[in-house]
Amino acid sequence: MIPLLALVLGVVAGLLLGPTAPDWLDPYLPVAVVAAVDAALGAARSLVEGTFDDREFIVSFVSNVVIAVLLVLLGDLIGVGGALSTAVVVVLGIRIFATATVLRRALIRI
Amino acid sequence: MAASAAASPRPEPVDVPPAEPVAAGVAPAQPVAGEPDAPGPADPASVGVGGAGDGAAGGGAGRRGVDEGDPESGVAGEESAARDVAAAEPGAGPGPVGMRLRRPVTLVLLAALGFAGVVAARSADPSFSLATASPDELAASLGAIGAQDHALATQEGRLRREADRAVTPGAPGTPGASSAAGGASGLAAERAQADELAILAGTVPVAGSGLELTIRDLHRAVDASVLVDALQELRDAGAEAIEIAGVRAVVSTYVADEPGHGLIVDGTSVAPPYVLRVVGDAHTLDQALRIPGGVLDTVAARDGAQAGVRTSGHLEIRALRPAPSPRYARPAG
Repeated sequence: MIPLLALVLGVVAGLLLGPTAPDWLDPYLPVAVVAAVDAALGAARSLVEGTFDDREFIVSFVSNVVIAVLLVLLGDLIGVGGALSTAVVVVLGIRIFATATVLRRALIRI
Repeated sequence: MAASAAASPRPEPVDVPPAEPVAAGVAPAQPVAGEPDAPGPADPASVGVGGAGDGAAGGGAGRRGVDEGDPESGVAGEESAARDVAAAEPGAGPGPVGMRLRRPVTLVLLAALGFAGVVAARSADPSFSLATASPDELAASLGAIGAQDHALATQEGRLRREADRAVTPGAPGTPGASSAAGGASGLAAERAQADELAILAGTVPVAGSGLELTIRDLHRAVDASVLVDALQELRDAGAEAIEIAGVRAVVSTYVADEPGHGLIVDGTSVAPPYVLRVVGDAHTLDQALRIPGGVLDTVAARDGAQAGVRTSGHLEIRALRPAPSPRYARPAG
């Protein structure tokens, strides 16, 4: 419950403060958010499976985000920026669906 | 958490995805690691995590769950209830200092996720980003749009010039196009077009090959229809400039009968003989007048009338018209 509150707190802070991302962050922020969502969902899954560990979550969260951003950066450098960020989003999206399936089975057993 | 702890003890072959060999090999080791005093020999990684009984062992198993992120890891759900309860709340129970610090970091990361999600959604919404942008950002964005506008205007000018070059030489409605051939650049093309229009409108004197048609009419037997027919015949034959009895013929020229005197051309009374000076291809014009049943035949059939044609290599038409100044019509587009 407390982690959920932290998430809501972040959303509320974002809505209240209303910051705008600097321009150079534009290509990376969406991918980073998707990677973080993937990590958070993975954490939720390990939570319902009873294998959650903060250290694991922190490491996977940070490394997911960093790797996703680095991939997009690499794509920009070699001139396939849009394609590679699409690839990252697609792969992470598939993972999110897979994780969501496990979560659903664990929570509502369907 | 409570739900998972209550649900996990039950073995559920239906709910849990089929385990792959790797995951299946790990699963039997985990209950051993989960025993309070067991050193966890089957999983060295879990020992290295914290070395503190249940929480550490659970964390070791959790690493696989989070890192792999694969559905196959769901096999962990078959573990014992005791281990689940302990592992589900690793930060809640007593642990090393590092363990207690991790929970706040987790919460901060989650808050950052929510924050970044809002920021990303906001920057993806163009209207919202403009509404909240600082003056500097607005100025920068305006500058970028201005530069883009300039680039597009340049491109438009280039494309328009290309289009003009492509269209002008063979454009319909430019009879002869004798002066348009040299219009390589846009300015030259414009000048050529202006010359053509001036000749059509009769605002400039013209010179060139052509012919002179003289219609003598002793008994006023030639009426306006003869001259109108002659005018149309000459135009069909490619006449570029026509002067009728000292009046420059243009697109609005009319010929009317004036009983007892002669004809009226564009409001000017003219008396025979009528002299039509025509600039165009002399041979073609001559042939057009001479066709059977044509202008010359028609005139010859009238009582006391006769027509004569004299072709010329150089013929000048000096009669002019004031430039038309339309009151209502404006160029469109």
